Amino acid sequence: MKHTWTTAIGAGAAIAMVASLAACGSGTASGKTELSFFANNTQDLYQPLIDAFEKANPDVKIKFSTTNGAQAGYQQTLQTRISGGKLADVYVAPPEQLSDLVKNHVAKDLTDEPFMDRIGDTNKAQATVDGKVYSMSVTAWSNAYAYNKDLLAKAGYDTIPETWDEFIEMLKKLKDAGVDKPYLEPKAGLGALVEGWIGYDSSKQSKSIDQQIGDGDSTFAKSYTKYYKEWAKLFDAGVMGSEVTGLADDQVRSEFAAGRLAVMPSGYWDVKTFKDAGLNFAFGRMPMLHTGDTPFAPGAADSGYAINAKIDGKKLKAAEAFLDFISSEDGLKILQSSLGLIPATKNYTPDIDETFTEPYDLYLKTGNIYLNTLGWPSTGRSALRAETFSQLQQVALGSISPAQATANLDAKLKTLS
Amino acid sequence: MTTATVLAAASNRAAALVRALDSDLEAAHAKDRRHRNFMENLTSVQFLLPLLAVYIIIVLIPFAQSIVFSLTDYDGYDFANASFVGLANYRTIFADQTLLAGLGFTMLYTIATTVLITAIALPLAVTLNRKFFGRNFARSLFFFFSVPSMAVLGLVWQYIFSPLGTGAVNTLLGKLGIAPVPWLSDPTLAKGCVIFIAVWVQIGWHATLYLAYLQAIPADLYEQASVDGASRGQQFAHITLPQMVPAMGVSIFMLLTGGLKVYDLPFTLTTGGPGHATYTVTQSIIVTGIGSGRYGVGSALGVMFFLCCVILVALQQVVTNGIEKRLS
Repeated sequence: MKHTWTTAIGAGAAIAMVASLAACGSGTASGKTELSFFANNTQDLYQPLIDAFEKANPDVKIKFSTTNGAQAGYQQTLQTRISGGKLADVYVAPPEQLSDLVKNHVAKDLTDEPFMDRIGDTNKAQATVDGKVYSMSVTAWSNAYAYNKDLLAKAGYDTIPETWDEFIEMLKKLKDAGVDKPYLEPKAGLGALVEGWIGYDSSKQSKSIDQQIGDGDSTFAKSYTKYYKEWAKLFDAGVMGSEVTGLADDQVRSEFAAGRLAVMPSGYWDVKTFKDAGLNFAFGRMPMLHTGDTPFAPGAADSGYAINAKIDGKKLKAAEAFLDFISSEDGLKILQSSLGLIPATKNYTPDIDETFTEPYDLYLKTGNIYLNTLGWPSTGRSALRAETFSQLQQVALGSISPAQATANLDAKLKTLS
Repeated sequence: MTTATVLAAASNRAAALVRALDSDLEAAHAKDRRHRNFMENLTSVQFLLPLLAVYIIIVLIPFAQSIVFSLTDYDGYDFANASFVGLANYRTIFADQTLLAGLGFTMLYTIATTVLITAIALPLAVTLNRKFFGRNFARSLFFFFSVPSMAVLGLVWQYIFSPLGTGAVNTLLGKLGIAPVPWLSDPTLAKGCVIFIAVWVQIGWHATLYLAYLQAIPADLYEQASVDGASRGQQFAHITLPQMVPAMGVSIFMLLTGGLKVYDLPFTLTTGGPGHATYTVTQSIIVTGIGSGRYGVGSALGVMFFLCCVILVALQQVVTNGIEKRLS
């Protein structure tokens, strides 16, 4: 009798195992098409979007996965999944990796998809490889200067000046007015506004300055030195000290939120933090080098959504429906409210917090945003970006000149090529 | 044929038979012994097999893979697309100034933490081994430092050593009328801060290790020394220290290997800065290699670093064994 029971249990387990394996193979769950989605943010933030999509498409079930709820390591995990043959059906494709994804035939060509008509030109351009669009980027980000209105008023200012020299003058006046820390940048974001200057100068040329460096037509020494010299005026004028080389992003943010810091580079993602702190603040422009220069700021299209090139049939249809939903007005509203991202599509004008209207109008509406890394060779971008901050830290410490910093960047680039 | 001759022949045959039987018995015993030894060895091997399998899977195979990757331009996506580049990745490493800076700090960190922790943990263990009020609490307190992860401690100490006047230490100094100290924004001070925190975190753990060995030293050795009039210092130098050499070997081995691999504390505390002041080899492997999709370069760095570690640890083993032999 005992033996019979054992046999029965064993047979039951075997049937259950075979059934579950069969379910895996078909990619369906309870008759629904199961669509795997790998993203670079936490499930709680994406859940409203997933719920709304599943409600609108009851025959599709989204299976979400992320990298332990953190942004860091996403690219590495994506790479590992691809090399292990475990790529999701729909995934977030960081622009830095897009050319590699295309090269490895894991991103479907989305150029002629109907939903791509909604996407803005800047976002499309950033997702284009060899004339074809491989990811659907629906949001964008830009830096802006967050400023404490009460502290600025002490020096007689109510907004950020247009030019760099005027800005430094303002910081000096703030210091004279008793503001101990008029301006701070985090150690891993030193010289951020330099990218705005390079973006403007690049807009007047057929090829961006960083693309020229990446292609070997120019060097950091030739192109970047003048910008770094301008940035170093902060230290020459005594309005920012070398202590910034030891300050993390959070520490600078805390100083601002505590009302001790007058100006800091920031972005839309900080709106809630500063509001919660009860500050009288706003976001303003990032000053340009000369009067009349078109305002540009560091920024880029956010990572887009890509479809695994190896899926077909029902899964492909479900993946296309998912991207269509994300780029719809409903999807974009959810993305903005849940993930705090700013939609940058043709079909929807987002409601922007009143504190951020100036940078939104100046940069995101116009597409005047620039990210230097996008022009660099895809291999080693992150290492080179980290190196720019290390070199600027040494400039801040006075241990090297801006010219030496750019020469060192050229040497680093050589080791990465 | 006489009766005596017959008896002698029979006796000889019997003796030969006994010898043959003895020989067979001995052979059978030997065979049995060999079989028993073989079975014992087989049992030992069976017990070792799972460990060996784990070692092969998580150490040897990945290391062999790293060697292969280091000779290619593998980008982390599809190894089938990778090309053989010979020693190009190794040449890249030696041309990278960042890596050399990382190597410098890694060596400084390893040597400084090893020397300081050994110098502090040993006397601390001796103190914690004595009887005093609150001894168990003191032991737990020192051990507790090593419980939180280094990464978490790095983030916490970032605020304590903040170079701003609002940093915890600088606030305290400010109350004493001392100007803010650029703890993490001065290259020398930043190095000092990383080493200080690493020592603070690890002394308790290593003191506990020494404590375990201290408690194994026979008490009568100290009693005899006391009778002979040896002072506490003499007892420490002539009894405690020689008895602690094996413990020091273990502790130093762990400090050396841990120090060479350090990544989490400097990364969370200073991100390798200011400049490259606290940059480490492991950070270089991650940032310059794996994080940049250059698995070939990252693997070459890993292989080179592994060889350096092997040489250093082998050297340490030779020195420790030499000291042990001299003292025994």
